[in-house]
Amino acid sequence: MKKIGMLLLVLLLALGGLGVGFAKWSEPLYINGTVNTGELDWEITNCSMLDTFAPPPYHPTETPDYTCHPGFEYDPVHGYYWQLDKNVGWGEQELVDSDDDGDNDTLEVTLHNAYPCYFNSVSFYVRNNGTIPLIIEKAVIDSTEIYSTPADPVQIDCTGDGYADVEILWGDHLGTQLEPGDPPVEISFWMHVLQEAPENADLHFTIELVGVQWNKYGEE
Amino acid sequence: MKKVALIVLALVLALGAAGIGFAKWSETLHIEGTVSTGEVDVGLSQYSNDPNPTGDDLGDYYEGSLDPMECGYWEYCAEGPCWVGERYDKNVASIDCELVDSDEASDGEETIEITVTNAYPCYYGSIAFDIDNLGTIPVKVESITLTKVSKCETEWEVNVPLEEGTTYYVDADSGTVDMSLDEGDDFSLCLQDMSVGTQVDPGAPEYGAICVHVEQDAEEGAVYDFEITIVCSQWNEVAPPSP
Repeated sequence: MKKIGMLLLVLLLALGGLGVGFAKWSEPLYINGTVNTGELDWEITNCSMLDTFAPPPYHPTETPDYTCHPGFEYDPVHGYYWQLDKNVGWGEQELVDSDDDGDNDTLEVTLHNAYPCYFNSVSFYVRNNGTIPLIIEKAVIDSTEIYSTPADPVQIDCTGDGYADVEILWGDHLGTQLEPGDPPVEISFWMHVLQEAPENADLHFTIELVGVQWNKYGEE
Repeated sequence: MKKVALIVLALVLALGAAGIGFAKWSETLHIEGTVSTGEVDVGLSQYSNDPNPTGDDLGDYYEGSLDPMECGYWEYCAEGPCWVGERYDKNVASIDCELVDSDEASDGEETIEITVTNAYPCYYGSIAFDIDNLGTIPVKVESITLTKVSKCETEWEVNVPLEEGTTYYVDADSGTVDMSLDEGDDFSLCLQDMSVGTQVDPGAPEYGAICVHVEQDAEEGAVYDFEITIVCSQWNEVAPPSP
């Protein structure tokens, strides 16, 4: 009789415990978040080149080649660059959408029939077609990084023979901020073929122009 | 004759005795009980530190809605919670929130839908929220859990309990949530001013905040989602948090 009483007591306590568990009142609240990221994107819209005129005629010509002093030094008579009397070398430029995202991210520049002291210049326009403001952080010319202008000319050894073949002077707009949708800014650089450039060779160089989101400008 | 009289007398006495029994007065008392139960009912209200400016183009300067550059903190001002922290000098992204009545059977709104728009690495958006006790029973926050994360509709059930002041880094490509910044992390969340065990009394809202930080490896043009569930239960049934 005592045993049955104990069993009943245990059963009662267990059910009571269950009752407490079931009886707890609660209500959930939810915080649902969606993060839509923007896009850092810019493009080259237009490009022009100083000398795009292929011979013939070599001479006389209305579109003669240009030349300059080594290191793009200023000449009190002619300025920074001036025209010769013949049309020998010339250049071409082409905008390329290298990643097929619908805008031109690469500018291919080719100089034809160039020779020591030949000068040419390129100007192009960039615009921010993304949704995040960006700052033009640096130009990387053959592994030389330029963060601001005026900068010294960068000499490039395209053939790896230990002698510089081409020198480039970066023009402007490093550190310029581009807001989404703002009008494009013009950037230019000069090219000068040096004395050690080999004959009958394809001289290739690469310039990278790096834009970063504006709030990361100046960070490593 | 005398015998007959005795019998009649005895009969009268017996009947009289029986008459007393029938006449006993009585009254029943009743106890009627009514238990009116209270109600556990909580709702949310919310505030953003970087609401979307209407009528302004992205990238424009917009007073009061410049992008936050840190989680900062919230404090109560005259007009309600206000955010304190440093801002960038531009208005590019925004964080907005909307209250949704996801439980029509109860009062108030139970869900906050947060939307971060045009975010970029190092953008910090913060949402402050009040838990309003709309019922009649004090409640305590029993659990705060990051339940789901997703990237572009690939959803992961993560169920990570959130602790106040701890930053949780989310790699939405793999559904990984941890407390260290690793390569591939897309965004991070930090719960502020709210913890398990917080008691919310009727008529006395308690506020907390969620800070969303877009990490360096977030993908451009992507959509990341997360869901946090806060369970509030009657105060006397919530065990105190373990030390």
